[in-house]
Amino acid sequence: MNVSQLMRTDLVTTDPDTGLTTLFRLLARVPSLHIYVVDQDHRMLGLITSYDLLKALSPFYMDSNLAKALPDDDSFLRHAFRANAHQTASDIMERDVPTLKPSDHFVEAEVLIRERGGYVLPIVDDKGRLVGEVTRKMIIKYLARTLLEDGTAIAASSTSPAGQESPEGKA
Amino acid sequence: MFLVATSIFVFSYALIVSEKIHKTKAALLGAALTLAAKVLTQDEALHDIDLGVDWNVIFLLISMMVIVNILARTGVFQYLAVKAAKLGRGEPFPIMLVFATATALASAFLDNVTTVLLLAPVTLLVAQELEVDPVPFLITLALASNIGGTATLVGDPPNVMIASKAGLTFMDFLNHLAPAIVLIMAVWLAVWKVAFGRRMRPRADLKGRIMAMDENKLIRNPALLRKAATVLGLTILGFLLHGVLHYEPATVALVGAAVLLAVSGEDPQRALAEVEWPTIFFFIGLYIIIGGTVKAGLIEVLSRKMIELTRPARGHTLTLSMAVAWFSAVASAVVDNVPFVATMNPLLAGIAGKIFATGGAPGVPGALAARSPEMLPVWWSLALGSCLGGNGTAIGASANVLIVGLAGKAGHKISFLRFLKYGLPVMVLTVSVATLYIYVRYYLLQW
Repeated sequence: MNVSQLMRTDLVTTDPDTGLTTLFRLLARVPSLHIYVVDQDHRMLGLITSYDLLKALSPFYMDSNLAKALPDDDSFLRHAFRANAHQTASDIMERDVPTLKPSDHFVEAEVLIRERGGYVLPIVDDKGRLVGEVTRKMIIKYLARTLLEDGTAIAASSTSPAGQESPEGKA
Repeated sequence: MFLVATSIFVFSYALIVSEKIHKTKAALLGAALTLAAKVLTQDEALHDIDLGVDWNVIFLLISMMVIVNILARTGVFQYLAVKAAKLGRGEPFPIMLVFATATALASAFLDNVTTVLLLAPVTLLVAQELEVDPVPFLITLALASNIGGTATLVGDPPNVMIASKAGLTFMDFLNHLAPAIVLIMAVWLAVWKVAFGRRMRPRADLKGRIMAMDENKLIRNPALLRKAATVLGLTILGFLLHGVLHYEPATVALVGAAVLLAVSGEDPQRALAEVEWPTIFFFIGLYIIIGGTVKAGLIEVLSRKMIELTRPARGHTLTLSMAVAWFSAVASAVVDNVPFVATMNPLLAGIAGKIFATGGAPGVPGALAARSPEMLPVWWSLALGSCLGGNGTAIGASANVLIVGLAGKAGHKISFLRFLKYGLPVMVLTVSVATLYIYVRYYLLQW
């Protein structure tokens, strides 16, 4: 079994110049927790997860402890949003994203996700063009179907919408 | 051997200054060459008090890093910084003054970089809430930490090195350098008031944002804070008494770190992993390189040259003191003050050996001569010059480099020239006050 048989191809993409406000709006609207940044030829440049977006919206120096001292109003967040609004997709995207080829073996996807701790693996062709993705959830469903006696029924009853599967929040 | 040791020294220092590779790599490479070329034997590098690694300095630094890292986990620094901002009544310039004073005080007892790293986030937050440019605040933080760090034996690594070489105690630093730093801080902040006092107008609508912050929520672990603050307090008490009790400062710090590790319940793996090992190994590498130059006679040659230039003698060390203060300041503004002091220490000890000789093998200065009371103003000049000189440029001190990096990350780029506009006048001002202090106290009043 190779990843092309498992991958999903309906992906959310954007170009590197997309502004933070648009990205914010886009990610709030689509079911997916991540957006691929691609060039004109659909070559993958990077990945923006909801985690990257939250990081970009809030200044780096803020941590969960310091946040406790803030007043209850949301003036801090409004400020932070305004101060960072000039950022673009290429500023905030993750560039060092592991990828697989459509012909790679499914087990490699499973092991790579386990090694890198992410929840999604983009699949690119020989020219680096984005062709699909495999997520942790898709792997679990496939394993359940293959390894468990009642796996097919379990996988079929799953109702989670595509892409909404990031317990760690980091791709 | 002279040529080999000199070549290794020049090569390593050139690498460090060029920043082509990490300074720790450069220092360890130089140390490895010193040992491989048999300029120093391993036994000398590790065990000889004049030629080898100064373990007093190494263990003092490691121990203080352990104590501060555990203390930082309690949230107390964020608490103090927010408290300081509220003490400034939410007005920009008073906040700047309180931050400068708090940073200087904290840096006197803790590592400068750690202090700045812990206080910078609250500084950035306060500047954002007050809608003012954070850059003057951040640079003030770096300058204050370099000035405050000069006040005590543990405040800045050059002081640790000087104290160990010259046999000076914590109380010596407190008696001789702390008054100078109080004076320097007063003069500097008075000048800062003229420079920034009018430019930073308070806005009534924004003050409330600072005053509405609740610092009490920032203490993460009150039980750990009690333990860590008690140990730090006792460690400082130990520093104050180490001369009387005849303990090395490193012993005091090591006891403090060991006790805190034992009572804090912290995982030693984590506590020790957070020690800045690259800095520690930078020191180890430098000591071995410098040991090689001392053994080979390079430092001997340099100290003869310095004697020719400044003509020190018993009762006549004023020119040497002034030259050391200004030369150290200028050198430390452009190169790291740690390798600089690592070189100056044996050089001054060599000069002391020649002027106040009380025996010892030729070329290997006796520790007693270095500890001669007449050498004291020269050591203070080295400490003041090398610590205060770090303020001159953006690369003069680790705290400056850190602040420039943090500001850039927050979207406020500080160019080399912009830092220079703040740092250089402060360096000239503070070193002038320092040299005036040395002249008046040690040469005019002979106090």
